[in-house]
Amino acid sequence: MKTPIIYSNTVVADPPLARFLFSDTRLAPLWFLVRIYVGFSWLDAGWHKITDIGAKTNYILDGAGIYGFWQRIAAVPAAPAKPLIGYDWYRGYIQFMIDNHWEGLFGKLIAFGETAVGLGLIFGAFVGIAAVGGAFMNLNFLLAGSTSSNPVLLLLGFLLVLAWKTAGFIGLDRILLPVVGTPWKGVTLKVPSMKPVESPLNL
Amino acid sequence: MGLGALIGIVLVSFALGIAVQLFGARKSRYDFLIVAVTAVFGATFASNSFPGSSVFSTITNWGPSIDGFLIIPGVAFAAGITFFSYFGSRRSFVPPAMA
Repeated sequence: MKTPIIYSNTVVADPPLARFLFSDTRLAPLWFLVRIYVGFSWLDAGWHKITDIGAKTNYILDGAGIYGFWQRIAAVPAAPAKPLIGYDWYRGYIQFMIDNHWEGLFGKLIAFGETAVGLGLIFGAFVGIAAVGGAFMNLNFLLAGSTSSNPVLLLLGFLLVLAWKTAGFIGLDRILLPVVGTPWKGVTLKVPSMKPVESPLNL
Repeated sequence: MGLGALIGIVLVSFALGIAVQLFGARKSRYDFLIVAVTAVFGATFASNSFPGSSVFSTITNWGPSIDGFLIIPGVAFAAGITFFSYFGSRRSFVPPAMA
C-alpha cells in the first residue's frame, strides 16, 4: 500500500471574493466609512459616560450609573414576565459584580474603553484590536438584554475584524502596522518547510 | 432630513465625483465613486448624528439648514472625509503594468 503524505503545515488560501473584500486595499474607502460610523457611535457613547457627573448616573466617579444598570438587568420579575438576561450564568456574573461592588472599576473601564474604541476606529489605529474590543462590549450589552444599536454595531465590528489588514489603510494603520512588523503589502510569504510526515492513520 | 435634501446631496456629490474623475490626477476608474459615496455619507451622517451628540454638546447653534440638512456641519464633514478618502486611496489602485 502506498504511504500517504501529510504536510505538517498547510495554508488554505482564501477565495477571491474574500480576498477582495477583506484584504484588498481598493476597498479601503468602504471600510473607512464603516469605521467612521461605528467609531463615532462608540465615541459618542463613551464621551457621554465620561462627562456625566450625576450622582446616580455617573460612570467614572463612583460608578453609580452602571451599578443602577446592573441592578435593573439582574432583577428577576414575577412570572409570566421574563427577565432581561436570558442566560443564568450571565445573571450570576452580573450579580457577583453587584455584590462585590465592582462598579467603580467597571464604570471607568467601560467609559474609557468605549472612548478608546471610538478614537481607534475613527483614526484607524489598530483597527482590528479596536473592533474586537467594541464587538466584545456589544456582545455584553446584548447578553444584558440591551438591544438598541448593538446588533448592527456587532455585525459591522465583525466585518472590521475580518478586514483588519486594510480597514485602517486610510488611517494611522498605514504607518502603525508596518512599524509593528505586519507586512502591509509585501509578498514575502514565508513558506514553511514542507517536510512530509508519515500518517499514523495509514489510509 | 427630507427626501429633497437627500436627492440634492446625492446629485451634488456625484457631480463633484465626476468633476474629480475628469479633471483630477486620476489613477483609477473609480475615483468618482469614492468621492461621491464618501461625500453623500459624510454630509448625511454629520447632519443627522452631530446635533444631539454628547461629543458636540457644547454647540447649540448649528447654523442654517435646508429641508432638515444642516449645511455647515454637513458640508464641512463631507469635505473633510472625502479629502482623506480620495488622497488616502491614491496608492490603493496600482495599474496592472506596475503590479
